Amino acid sequence: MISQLLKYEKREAGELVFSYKGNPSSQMINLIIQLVESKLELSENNSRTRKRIINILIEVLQNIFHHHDEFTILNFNSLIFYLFRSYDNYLLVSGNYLRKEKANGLMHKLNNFFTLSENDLRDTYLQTLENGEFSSKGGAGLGMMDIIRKSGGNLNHQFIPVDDDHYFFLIEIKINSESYE
Amino acid sequence: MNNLIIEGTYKTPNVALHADMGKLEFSGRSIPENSVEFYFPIGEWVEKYLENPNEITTIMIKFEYFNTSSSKSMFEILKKFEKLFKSGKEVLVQWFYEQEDEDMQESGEDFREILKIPFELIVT
Repeated sequence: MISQLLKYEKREAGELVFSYKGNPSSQMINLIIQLVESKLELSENNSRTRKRIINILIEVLQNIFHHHDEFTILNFNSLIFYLFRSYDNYLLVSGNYLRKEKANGLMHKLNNFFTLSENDLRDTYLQTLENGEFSSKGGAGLGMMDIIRKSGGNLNHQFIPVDDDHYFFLIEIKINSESYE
Repeated sequence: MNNLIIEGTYKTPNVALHADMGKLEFSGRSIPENSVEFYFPIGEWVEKYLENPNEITTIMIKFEYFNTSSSKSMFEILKKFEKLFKSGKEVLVQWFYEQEDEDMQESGEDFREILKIPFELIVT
């Protein structure tokens, strides 16, 4: 697992816009969103790209807030987050620990979402919006679907086994820069 | 009935609910990780408003950022107006979005599809 995370630390392609390792508390998540937004205000001229990145970032980090499990090993904290910029796209990477049961549930959900066409995913999203219920932490069960829809399905994910009870959920999302389309 | 005015913050919207004019306005950002707490008093206000509503109710939504938790809360609030519309009162939702903001446009289109009340998408 460490080697998979170190590849981001040592990544040479593109420029590191922002990185964070630590706890996914509500305060930290809000601070990350504000800092990334301020950085992009200065460095990304295309407002459509800027908004798309912030929209996806909000859902990714809040999804972790709604679902993460407190767990820290080998000096890697419970949340890692990177935002890289290349000449024609951004790469948003986030990772967090999940208990096995939660990871299995998410695996099943994601496998299902990825088999759906764009229209079917929208229908599932609308059904959940209409009939779903809030979790105790305020999650609406829409976050992952929203991330897939907003990124146009341009994402990879991995569940890395950590021990008998935990996985590290790693997600990479590519967001195209509009100025280069 | 009192109007409900809430000033916006970095994560929560400006809310201006005018019972006397039948005008309900939401603007700014709605990105709290748990929207239930924020929208609870708004839902209560709407319930009370529906007991003695105006002939015409206009709901204006002008969000810059809008997360999925707020999306669910806003849906629950707008859903309350379906009954009012069915009863013969005039209800209109106006969903404003900036031309380049495809995400807010898509959110508006999502709402328009599942809500059974007149719903306008307006480009600003």
